[in-house]
Amino acid sequence: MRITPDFFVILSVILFTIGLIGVLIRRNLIIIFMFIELMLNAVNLSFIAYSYKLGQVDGQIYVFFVMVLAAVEVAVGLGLIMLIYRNKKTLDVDDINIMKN
Amino acid sequence: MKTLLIFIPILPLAGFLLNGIFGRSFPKKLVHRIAIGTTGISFLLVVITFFKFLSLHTESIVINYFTWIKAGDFVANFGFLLDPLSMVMLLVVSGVGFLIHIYSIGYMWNDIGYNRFFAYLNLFMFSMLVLVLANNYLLLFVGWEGVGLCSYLLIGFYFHKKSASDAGKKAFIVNRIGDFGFVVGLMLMFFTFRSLDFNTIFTSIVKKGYGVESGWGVLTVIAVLLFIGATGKSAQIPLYVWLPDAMEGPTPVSALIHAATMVTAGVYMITRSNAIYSRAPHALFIVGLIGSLTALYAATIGIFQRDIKRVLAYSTVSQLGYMFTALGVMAFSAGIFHLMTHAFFKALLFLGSGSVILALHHEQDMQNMGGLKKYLPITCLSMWAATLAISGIPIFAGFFSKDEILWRSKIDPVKGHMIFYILGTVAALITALYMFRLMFLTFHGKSRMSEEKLSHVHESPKSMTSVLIILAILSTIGGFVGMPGWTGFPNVFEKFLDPVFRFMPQKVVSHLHHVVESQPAGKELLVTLISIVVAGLGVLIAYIIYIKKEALPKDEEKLGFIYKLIYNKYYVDEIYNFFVIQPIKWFSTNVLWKIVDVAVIDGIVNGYAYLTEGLSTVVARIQNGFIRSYIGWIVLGGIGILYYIILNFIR
Amino acid sequence: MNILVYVFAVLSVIFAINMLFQKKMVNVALSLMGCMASLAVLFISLYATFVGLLQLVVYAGAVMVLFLIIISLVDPFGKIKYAFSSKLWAFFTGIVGIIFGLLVYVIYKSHKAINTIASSKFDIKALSHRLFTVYLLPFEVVSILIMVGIIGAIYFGKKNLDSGEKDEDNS
Repeated sequence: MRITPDFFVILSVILFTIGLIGVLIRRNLIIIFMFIELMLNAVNLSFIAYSYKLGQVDGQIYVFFVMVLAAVEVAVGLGLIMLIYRNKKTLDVDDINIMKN
Repeated sequence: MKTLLIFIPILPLAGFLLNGIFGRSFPKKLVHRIAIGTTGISFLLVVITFFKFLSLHTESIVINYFTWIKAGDFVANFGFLLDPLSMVMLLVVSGVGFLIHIYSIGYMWNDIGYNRFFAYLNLFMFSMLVLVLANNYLLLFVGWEGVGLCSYLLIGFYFHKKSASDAGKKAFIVNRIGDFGFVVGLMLMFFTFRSLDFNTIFTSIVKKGYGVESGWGVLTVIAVLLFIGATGKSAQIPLYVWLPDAMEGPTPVSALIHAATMVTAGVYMITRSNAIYSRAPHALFIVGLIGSLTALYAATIGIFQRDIKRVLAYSTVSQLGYMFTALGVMAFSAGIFHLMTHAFFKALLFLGSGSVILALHHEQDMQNMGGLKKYLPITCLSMWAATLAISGIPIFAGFFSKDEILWRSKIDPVKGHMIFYILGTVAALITALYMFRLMFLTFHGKSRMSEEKLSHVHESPKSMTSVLIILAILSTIGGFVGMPGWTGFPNVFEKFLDPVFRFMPQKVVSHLHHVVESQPAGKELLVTLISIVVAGLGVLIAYIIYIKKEALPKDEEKLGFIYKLIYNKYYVDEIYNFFVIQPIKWFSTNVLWKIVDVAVIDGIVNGYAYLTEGLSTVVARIQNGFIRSYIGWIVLGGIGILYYIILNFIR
Repeated sequence: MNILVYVFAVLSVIFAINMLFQKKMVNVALSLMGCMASLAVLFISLYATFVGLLQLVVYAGAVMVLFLIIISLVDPFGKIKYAFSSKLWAFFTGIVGIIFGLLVYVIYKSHKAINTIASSKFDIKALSHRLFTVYLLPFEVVSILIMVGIIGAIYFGKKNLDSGEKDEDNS
């Protein structure tokens, strides 16, 4: 018997929540960023699972686009993190509060 | 035809743009060559159009150039309507306008702002031509406002003089009051007919079978509202007050705008709307009553004015009253006929007075004139032609048109009583009186000027006198196109205009014919004789007082109370000031400014500011700079979205 | 086959949880890489071959390399004192728990709504056909987005941006 797609969906939810917890509780900027990537991956998994379930290829195309966006995001985001590190000499989000007021 | 017609208004516009933008650097000769060239060619085009139109034998030509405004089922086209009525108006406007352009060279030559003057004059020509050519009410309104703007600009031409700029403002504001009625009328019209196009409205009136309204139906209301607009533009009671003050502008302007063309826009508009008015007897009665009252009232003020141009201004108001009287008794073509002859002789009177004023170095008080016949022979002679015309002396143009109006108001087919006729006849007497007074005081009797001043007086340049002569000829023979019935000649003018009135209800038309035909043969002749006698009486009185007794304006003061009352124009300006302007001032300072503006509007604005400030201090706490708190908010938002999805999409 | 899927599913969860507790950045990155790789296997098991390979190449490959480079630039061996702040983690986990519950509820409901399992297997040809016909415009837009991203990244990499950032800091 094949594994039902719902198994993958639940798995993706689990991964998504782990990612969310990570984003919320970790303090290092780069690690937060990695958890965001994890969340994106989890969503990708649910896309693929539903694509399989509905027999439509569109879900995979969305995943393709998400990957491209994630790549761009990493490129720009890491650039920004580098800038912050150069100026602040820290990566702790609780110390980076220049956005206040 | 399509291209020919568009060039008629476009040319003056081009002249305006050229002179308005580059005129400062142009030499004076080039300025007036541009201005006169453009209006001259456009006059030529009008004449060509006229002959073409005659050869076509059509009732009307509608040309749509482009869709101007389109919103929902509201469509306004930029299009022209050429029919006998607009043809007559075109000829009058462009012809008289062209002549006055020529005249202005001599009159304005030594004025600063030569290019500005001609630019405004060209802009006026453009607006007026659009007004008479428009094929819908909205485009007509554009022209209507355009001429109002030019009027304002030209009244205030000597803007450094406070009285001139005040007069400009007065004209503008008083016209706005009228325009308010006009715009409301347009809205009601659109609301009723879903269109503002002349032909669409009139045909739908005919098709939907609107009959003659006995009470206050929608057509009557529209008609009255449009008439309110006309009272503003055409200076009728109660909005006439701006026209006498408009004489602050240069004299050619008074001649062109405030006598010959613009002020007749109201008459044109009502004639154009004859399909509406002929179904609204109540509105017609109001038009006639206001018209005839104005005719008499303004004429009486004219008797004691000393300023030569003011006499003419009140005379204009009075003559416009005649035209509205004609409209009020459904003698539309007689009204237009008087409009045309009036354009000739009143332009001539103003231009003649301008010639006098120029010769006397801007002396306008008749107290200081007299005996100018010797010095200004051409001006004197041509002005006599106009005076005879306006007074209704036979053969001259005004005689035929005024007589037609009086005759038609005598047999008034709308209400059937003679009130308009009586008012009109008395006004005719007074007209003859004040016009002859003006002529006697200016050109005859002994000179009341110093020898030194008199030596400088000389006849105006040829460009001015030639215009005077042409207009004098027109004032003399212009009436022959509309001969009254008893002469046996056909009334060419009325016949030409006939297609304009094809939207009138059949019942009214036959009633009109019946009333006119059923009069006994000699009656019209009798009415004519009466008006001749009346005019003669006015002349006689003027002759006795001002030639035999050699009375001067200052001698009139002996009349005491009556003189004072009339000289001060029945204190109407003061009454308006007390009852309208002061309350508005009080209201706007004490209520609008101190309560509405300071308390309410500023209060609301400041209140919003305080509210935002208060809220933002609360909200600013959320923005504490900690990224994780932002993420927390995002997550809370995510919960909200999920909850929303569950509530709405999951069953 | 099924066992393989279960193994990799469990692996991915373990890697993810491991990410939460690691104190070294490099270790976190390596865990993420493992998680991504196991997800790639799961993708392929769902007949999404193309996307699975992309996952390996782009994510587990390129993106992770980027992360590692940045980590090496920033603070290669620095240990973080504690993995997460002690005060609020319980509160955050609570919120996340709510989300988890809601998501599971939604999935459970939608599972009932859609219970047809399509048998059609799709190949890479169908995917590319659809990508270059129906999704051509988004595709091109995304390519422009990549370009913007590249330009932005280059711009941030410029040295002279430092002073500007410092100015803002001082104010």
